[in-house]
Amino acid sequence: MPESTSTPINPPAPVTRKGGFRLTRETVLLLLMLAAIIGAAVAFPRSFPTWANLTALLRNMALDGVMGCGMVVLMVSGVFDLSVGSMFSMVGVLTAWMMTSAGLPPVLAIPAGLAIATLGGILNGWMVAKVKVNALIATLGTMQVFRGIAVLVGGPGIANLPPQFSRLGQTEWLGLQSPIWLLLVVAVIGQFLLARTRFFRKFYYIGANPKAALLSGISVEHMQIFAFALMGLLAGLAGMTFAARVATATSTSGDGAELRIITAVILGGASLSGGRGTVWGTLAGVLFISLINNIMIFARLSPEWQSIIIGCVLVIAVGMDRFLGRKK
Amino acid sequence: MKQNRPQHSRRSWLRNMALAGSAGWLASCRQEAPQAPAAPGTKADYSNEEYVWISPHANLPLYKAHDHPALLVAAKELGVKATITGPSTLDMGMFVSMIETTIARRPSGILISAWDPSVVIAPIAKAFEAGIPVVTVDVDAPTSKRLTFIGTNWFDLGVRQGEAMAKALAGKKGKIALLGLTEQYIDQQAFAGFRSVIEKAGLTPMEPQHDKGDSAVAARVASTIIQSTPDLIGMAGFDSESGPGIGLAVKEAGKIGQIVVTCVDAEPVHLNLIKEGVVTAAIGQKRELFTYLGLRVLFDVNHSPLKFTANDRKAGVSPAPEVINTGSYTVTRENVDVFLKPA
Amino acid sequence: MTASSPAVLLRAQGISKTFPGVRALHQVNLEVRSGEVHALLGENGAGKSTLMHILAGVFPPDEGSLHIDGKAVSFISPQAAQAAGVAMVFQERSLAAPLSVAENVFFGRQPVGRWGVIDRPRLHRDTLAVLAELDIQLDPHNAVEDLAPAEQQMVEIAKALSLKARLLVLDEPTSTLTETETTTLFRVIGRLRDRGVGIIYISHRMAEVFKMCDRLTVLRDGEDQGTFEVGEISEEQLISRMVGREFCYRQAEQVRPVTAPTAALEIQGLSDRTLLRDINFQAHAGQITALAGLAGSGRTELALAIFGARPITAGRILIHGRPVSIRSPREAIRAGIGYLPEDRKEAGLFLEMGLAPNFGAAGLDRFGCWWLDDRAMEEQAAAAATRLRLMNLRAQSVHELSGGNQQKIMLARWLLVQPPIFIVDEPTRGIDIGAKMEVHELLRKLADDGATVILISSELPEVLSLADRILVMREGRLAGEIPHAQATEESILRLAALPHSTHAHA
Repeated sequence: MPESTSTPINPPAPVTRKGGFRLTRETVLLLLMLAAIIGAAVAFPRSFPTWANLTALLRNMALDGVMGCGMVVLMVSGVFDLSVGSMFSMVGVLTAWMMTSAGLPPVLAIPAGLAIATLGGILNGWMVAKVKVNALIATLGTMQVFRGIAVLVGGPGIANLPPQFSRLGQTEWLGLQSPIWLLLVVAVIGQFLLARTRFFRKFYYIGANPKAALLSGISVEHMQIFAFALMGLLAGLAGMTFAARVATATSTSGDGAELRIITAVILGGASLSGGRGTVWGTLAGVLFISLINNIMIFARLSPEWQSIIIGCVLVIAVGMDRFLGRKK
Repeated sequence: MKQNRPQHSRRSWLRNMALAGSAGWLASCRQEAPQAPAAPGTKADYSNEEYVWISPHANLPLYKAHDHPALLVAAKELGVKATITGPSTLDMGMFVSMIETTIARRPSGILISAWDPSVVIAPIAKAFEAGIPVVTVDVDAPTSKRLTFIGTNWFDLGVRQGEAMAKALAGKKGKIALLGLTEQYIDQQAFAGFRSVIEKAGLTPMEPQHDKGDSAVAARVASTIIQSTPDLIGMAGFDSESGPGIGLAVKEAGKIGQIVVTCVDAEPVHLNLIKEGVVTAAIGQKRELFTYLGLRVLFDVNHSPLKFTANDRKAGVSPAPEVINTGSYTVTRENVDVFLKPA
Repeated sequence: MTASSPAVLLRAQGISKTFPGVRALHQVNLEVRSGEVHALLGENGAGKSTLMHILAGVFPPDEGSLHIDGKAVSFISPQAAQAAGVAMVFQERSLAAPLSVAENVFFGRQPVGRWGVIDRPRLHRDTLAVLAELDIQLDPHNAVEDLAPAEQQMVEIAKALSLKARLLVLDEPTSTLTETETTTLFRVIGRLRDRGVGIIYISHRMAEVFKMCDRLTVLRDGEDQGTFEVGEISEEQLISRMVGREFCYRQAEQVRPVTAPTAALEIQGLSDRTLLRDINFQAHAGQITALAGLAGSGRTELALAIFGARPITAGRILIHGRPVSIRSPREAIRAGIGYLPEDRKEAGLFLEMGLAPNFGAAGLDRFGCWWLDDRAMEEQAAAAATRLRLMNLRAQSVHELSGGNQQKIMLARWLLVQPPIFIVDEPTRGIDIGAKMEVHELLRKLADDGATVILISSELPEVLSLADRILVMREGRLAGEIPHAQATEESILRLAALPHSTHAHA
């Protein structure tokens, strides 16, 4: 197509101030969080700004954060995975089953569970990349299938998990519990990989323009399968960790996790059409949502008001960088 | 060139629809109970009578562990066929259409777990018009044309939990947190029952918080409540996932013993928490009775020789009891071992 | 063309518009008469786009006035412009693809019966009436997405007409059309002209402009270079007004010789599932081999097949005499083949990304080990852009760049990789004359330095100017080769269009 002389002209891009500082989504989020933290610390000086509250907050968001690291890679490449909540539950249940009914020691059951998680991810990836099923529909399907398997195998829940296993979810080191350490490790490695390595940079190209990426020599299909496999692995890892933390594997866990995580990733700067997103941004998104939830309970808001407020806050947070950018 | 695109998108659209369709179909598949043989010694053969149990979330583990097996036991005893069906999700639209499909099959009776009472009023009326007796189990639709409700009285359940909490806190003063599905009618009944006992004991109930029926959410909400409420001395959970979530939060906050935890449902996971000393009391429901008695009520409506008038239907006299309150029980450290032994 | 001077439909006087840092238009005058086809010419960046946006009501001018039928108007919104009778037919179609022709023509204004229900029979009748006025043969029931691009354009024009447009702006209307479709379009334009509609015709194709238009206005760097009757100015004069310098295509006098014994690239018996049939040819290092042909003849498909982006059902590819298996663009690049796509926006550029990522896309391995050295990539990108005289280095994302600059960054991407075999597909489409010359010099230099350049182009003067060998494709086959001595636009077009043909091996 020849260049059109009448392409709609875009409004001028956000002005870069001196020194290259830009009002990114992450910055806005961090500023909002700072404001919220200061506000809450002033309002609840004795109970909010405590180590106990902080670790509780981190502990409860840690696994969403781990899964977010996988989801952000997928969303950067322009797709998403709705089956993560079900995978979370299924892998926890299957690993628990292996350790209880099948009598496998954790040292075997854990890698087996992770392998199953990866295979599930590869299934998703194959459907989306090779068979070219729309990601929403493919992962909607596996969401049901994985959940069905979890309910079939897990029933009302598998309790009495071997202590060597549960210990993995409950150990504390330097005052932080294992889910938090898992998050830190995954996040730091994830941020480095996604931001700095050539391999992961290609996902941005795929998300921006898959056709152009292919014609630039990027193996789009292989990389998409890889991304889904990685997501599956992380979801399975998170599911196992949760089962260890509670010392039970329930087949109803993780319900709705996918929407929560996708919301957090978008909050952190990703877009549904791909080509954007970072690990730090995702963590900021997860942290932001957890923080607001945390503060709302401190403020004794009723559940109905909590839903309304979190909805408004999300819309504002997402729209704010656009609004501020355009004003200048 | 743009020429290729319309073809491609139409083909993949078809493929997507086919996949979505089969996924949806698979997801809502129902199970058929095995044909029950006629019990030996009975005079009549009712093996062609079908009684259908239908509920959203039909595959809920709680149902599979209690309601479904009891239904099949009752069916076997009576020599009738029992069918378990319902959407595997909380899709009310699909629930209603599946009820209507069930009505069209002219079963001998229907057991419905209402979940959202207002939604089932119309379908139950249709069943009534068609002459099919309907009972509600677990969750009632009191204004509908159902004959009987068999289930737990949630107000009583709340009272029972309140009594357990008050007993454990014997005389102390402080705040009690409540967690559950706050918008559900049965939870609200339970909150009311709970509060009535608690307030009399001089304790302060907090506003109920929502835990989305997920133990991870319950854990998050509970741990935040713990952090933000210095004078918290008790936490009560009102759906089956609340207890484990609260227990986890209390454990991780290192407050075992400092915060008394009570909860609803006495599944193995709750019982283990009692054994560990994290949970003080779990209130169990006698879920088996819902379907066991429910099926029997329907069967009796069809076959019982008892009559109140020459034509009960014309006289507007219901042949069945109004409500069967199946009651609840308390599990504590004292009796938990009995529960943990295999039946 | 009427002899008497018809009424002035639109008068734009003294139009100026400045954006931050850029003076887009300065004291531009434009006058369009009713029943006139008025061409608007100028390189990219000359201000045509800005002027059209002002006419369409997208934003107001900073200075100057607009008059329609002698009355001053001021458009506060595109709807106001539309109400005044100004309609645009853009390159990016504004149609709703899944809806039918009729629904698109009367978009938002379907005739309704009682209770707001759409009166379908009347909708279709009205649509047929509009189409008949333009002598367009289309079934109003068909979905727009099933139509060819040319037919979609007809629907756009019909839509504009049904909006009672009195001034129609056509932007590069023939760029995606075949010869027959272009003829149809010209007939439609004729009908519009007969009805007194004023048409602004924007195109880079001189031949069409001279054939279809009554007058032309030239813009350069936001300034008005004058309005001329078509009869009173020649092509060369026109071009010099557009670029400010004398120019003509340099005809290749001497063909570059073949230096190596084996062909750098040889295609044997290549066929694909739907279009290509038994293609055989050779391309040699140090030469520019052109593939000419009409739209739809399969040149791009052939390029994609060689590049591993399109599956092949039969045939072999040999590089320096050795057969290679190429199943993906990644393998093609590794084998030393590069491909500059025809549609740079859709298949080449990462529009939201900046210069450096677009520059490095095919050559990421060159920047760092397994980590990506962003700084090196940015430095090299800036250096490459400067070498290619890419004007807008400070652009945050490439969609801000003009067509010429966008093409330069695409070329820079491949220059980084330096493929010994380089296929370029319509390399100068939609870019201004200045950039076009630069691209031509670049391609010549590549060939001089020993690369095997395969040029796909629909612009015959370009082909004649650049090519050492000219191969012609027709309907998925190789129709033949035009020897240098006989190479004229006519001979190429004849071989490309006429069914009877000579040998296929070249």
